Amino acid sequence: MFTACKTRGDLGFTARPLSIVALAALLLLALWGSTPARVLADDQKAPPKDSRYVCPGCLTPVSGDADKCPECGLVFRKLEYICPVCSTTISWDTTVCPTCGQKFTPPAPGEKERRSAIARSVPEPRDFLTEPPAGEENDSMTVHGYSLSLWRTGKETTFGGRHPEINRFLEDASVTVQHLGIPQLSFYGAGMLISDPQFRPENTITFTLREAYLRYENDDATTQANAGRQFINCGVTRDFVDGLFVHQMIGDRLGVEGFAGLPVAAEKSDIEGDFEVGGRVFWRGITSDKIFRDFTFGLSARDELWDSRVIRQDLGVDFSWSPTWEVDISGHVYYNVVDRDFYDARATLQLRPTAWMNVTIDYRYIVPADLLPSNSVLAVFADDRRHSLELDVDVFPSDRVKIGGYVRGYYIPNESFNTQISGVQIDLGREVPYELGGTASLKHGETLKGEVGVQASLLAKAGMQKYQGATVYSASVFQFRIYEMLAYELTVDHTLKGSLDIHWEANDGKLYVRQNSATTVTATAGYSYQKKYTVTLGADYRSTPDFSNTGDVFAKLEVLF
Amino acid sequence: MRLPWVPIVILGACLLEACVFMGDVLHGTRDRIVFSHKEHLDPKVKGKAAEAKMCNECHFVTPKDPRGEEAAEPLEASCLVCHGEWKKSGDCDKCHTAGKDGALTYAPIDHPKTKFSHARHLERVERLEEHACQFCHPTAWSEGSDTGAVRLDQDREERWHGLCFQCHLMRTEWEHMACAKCHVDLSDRAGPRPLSRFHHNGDWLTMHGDQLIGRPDGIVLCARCHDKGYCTDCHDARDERKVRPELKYPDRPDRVFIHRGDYINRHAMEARENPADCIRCHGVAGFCKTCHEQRGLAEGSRATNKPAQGDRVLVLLQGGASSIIQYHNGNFASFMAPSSPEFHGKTARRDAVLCATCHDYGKETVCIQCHADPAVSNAAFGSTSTKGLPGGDPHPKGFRSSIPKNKPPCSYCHVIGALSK
Repeated sequence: MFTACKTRGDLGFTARPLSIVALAALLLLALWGSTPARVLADDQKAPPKDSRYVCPGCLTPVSGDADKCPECGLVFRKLEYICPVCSTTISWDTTVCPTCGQKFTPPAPGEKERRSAIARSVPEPRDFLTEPPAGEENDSMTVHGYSLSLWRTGKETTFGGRHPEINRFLEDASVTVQHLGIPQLSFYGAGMLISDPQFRPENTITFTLREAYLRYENDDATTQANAGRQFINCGVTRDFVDGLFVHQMIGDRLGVEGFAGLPVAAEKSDIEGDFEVGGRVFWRGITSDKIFRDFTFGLSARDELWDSRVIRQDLGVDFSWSPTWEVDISGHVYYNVVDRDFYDARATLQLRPTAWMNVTIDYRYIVPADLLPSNSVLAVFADDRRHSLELDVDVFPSDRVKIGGYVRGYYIPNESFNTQISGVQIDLGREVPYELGGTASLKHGETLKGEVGVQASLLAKAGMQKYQGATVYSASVFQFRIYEMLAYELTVDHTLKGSLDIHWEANDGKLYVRQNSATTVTATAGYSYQKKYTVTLGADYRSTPDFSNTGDVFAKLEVLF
Repeated sequence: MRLPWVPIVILGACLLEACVFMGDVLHGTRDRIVFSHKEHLDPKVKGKAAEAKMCNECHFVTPKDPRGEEAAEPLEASCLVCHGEWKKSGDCDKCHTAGKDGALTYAPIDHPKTKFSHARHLERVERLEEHACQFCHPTAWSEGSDTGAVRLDQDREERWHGLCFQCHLMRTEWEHMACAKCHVDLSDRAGPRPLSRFHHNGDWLTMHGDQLIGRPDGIVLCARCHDKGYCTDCHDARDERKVRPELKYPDRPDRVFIHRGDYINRHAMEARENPADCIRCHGVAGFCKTCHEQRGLAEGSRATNKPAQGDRVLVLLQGGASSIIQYHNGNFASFMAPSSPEFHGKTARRDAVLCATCHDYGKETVCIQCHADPAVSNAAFGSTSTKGLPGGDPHPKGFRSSIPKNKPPCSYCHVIGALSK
């Protein structure tokens, strides 16, 4: 690997000047009447035959500490380094870059002789690689993973007058085993353990297996197969599924995928009736084709039984088409087989007119009641179709700044209806709730790196809630949030971190007795070693209608292995 | 209605086969160069100088291109030095997969995709003395008769990022996605795409499902940046015993989560905007009810307001249901009066999902007694009215269902005796 490089390092010239210098050196030697033997004598060191160093001018082996080539006379410059952060030229024994402050470990004894311009000046690649590079010629089994241990404790004051104590422990872990017997086979698993006396519905310790699948992938990744519990995104299926997934490239451009299995969300249903199956065809873009670059089309079907009765039967398709790299068109259509009705359709157009702007237009049609299980009698009453249209505009004035805004409006037709007994015509009117908001974030600093962000949004009900519902009515919501996140690298290995998040929100009243606003503040401080081990301590403060002036503290340990 | 699985599976298989056939056709028409490095390389050649000379016979530009500005792919002339007779004799299929009858459309890359100088890197690689090229081109010495599989762009990106990052500290560029530091052009190959495609801009949180689909690599593409468990932070929400990601990652305020802040109070308002967004992840039957019951918000969840199951409708009709007054707008009279703005029928039409969060009890659902078929409601309450109880037909215009009337939930209202215990 590069970390043990022993060749001559950054000598600071290119091949073309190098040849000129070599030629000039030869001419100089000729004028002086010198011979290679004389040069050798001057240098008083004959290049060892087994030397690992070669002259970049003539490829002749040279000794490790030669100042010039004994063959062609090329003069070697004094060893220099290039700071990998700011590209400043620095001396070989520099420990701190004078420009950017990047720290280097002191040179080890004898390092100068090694003439390595790379190994010491470049930190380990741990920031980028949590796993060995794919394809590395190491077929032995490797295990990597992530563990998050979180403990929270505090008190809440509920509107019911109770003061329950939060005492929650969480362990969230995932593991990847590569080269499981054969190089192409790997395993991925993730699970979560929760213990919380206040957790509903009972006080128990619960373990949830979130993912667990074996994965086969051939050497060029054209064939992939997963077997086990995994997340599937295809057609109407956007669930975890216990099943089989196959991905096959046919040539460079065409690919097909297929899957079948039992949806995990239906694990409490009748197993004989729960099934999801689907597939996808996709086409990777061709350079010369200006209108048909990426295209995908997925189709899936879902069936679920409960007490031997059908509660879900859906068909769904999704698609995506990128006629050019500046335009993406995507969407989906879902059909409820039980109600014989299309209940969810979406079309999204994403435009990138310039490199610093992104515009998204999203239309959606949805019938919420069709998402109720088919054994729910309440679906009979519903006439709740709604259309939504959203416009997002994001601009990126620089690499560090991101500004965005959005507006989303709903149109709910609400058909009028007659009551059978009274014969009263009830006109529900037209409702047009809308939401608008904006965000801005700035990444700042070099040594003390951080990000500050501001978010604001307003959800206006536009009369929708005026007479509707149970406890909630006439409620629009305004939210404002500001956060700061900082990281300071003491050394390459040691990093201090911190964050502050303030979230304030208010509704337009009549909702709760105590107050109609809420403030939540979260502050954290942490320490990270080698980006692999991170300890975070923090606290939450809440002043909300349900939990007034309460809070909790937490401790978190994250380990990458 | 049961879905016809057998025809669906057969149809799917046929579709798959059609795709395979289509791929064969397309694959066959795309012109490639048949070339094996293994057959052209001399394994006995070792050492930087010798290897460089050997590679240079075809890739003649790379050692002379210290700035990496020239394409490294050999021109046809390099091949014709030895194989000129094939071209003269018209044996196109010796090299071109399209053959002499096909369209010889193969065109070498005319400009580099990455700022990379072989000349500069050859100076630095320690392993130059033994198969130096293999350090970055591992398949060059081992592949069989293939079609130029050593091209970097045909290998996975992670591999090359991993190799480069071992020496080049590109953290800032990586974080800011300043790929132009190394990549001249990301728009050409199947894998790399313009950077703007990777920005999670706009309402990414609610649209990423469809936008994910927009990538031929799907979730695999996301996994290049995100840990494999990243999705599950949010996407196992149907398990009610989970912890919101905001609570797991309080130190990451920059990450976008749905339930930030005082969501317990805000959820009712946001749910009215589009209840489908809630149901899609959480469902209705269990998720809402367990919390509502715990907090005394669900039907019959409080002892003081809890009418006996069989008395519920009678209590309602007698106007004594304190729970209605407590948890619904207006008073009992306005709640029941069709002309009132607080009439419960309006809510049921507009937002049946809202009703379901507290009242969905199967054949015990509170609505049934009044809205059932006259015969059913008469049987339940001993009425002789020909119109049944005052609820009347609740079905909206255009209502359709494939469920037979004698099957639940239709049978709750449409079959006499369905209410009998």
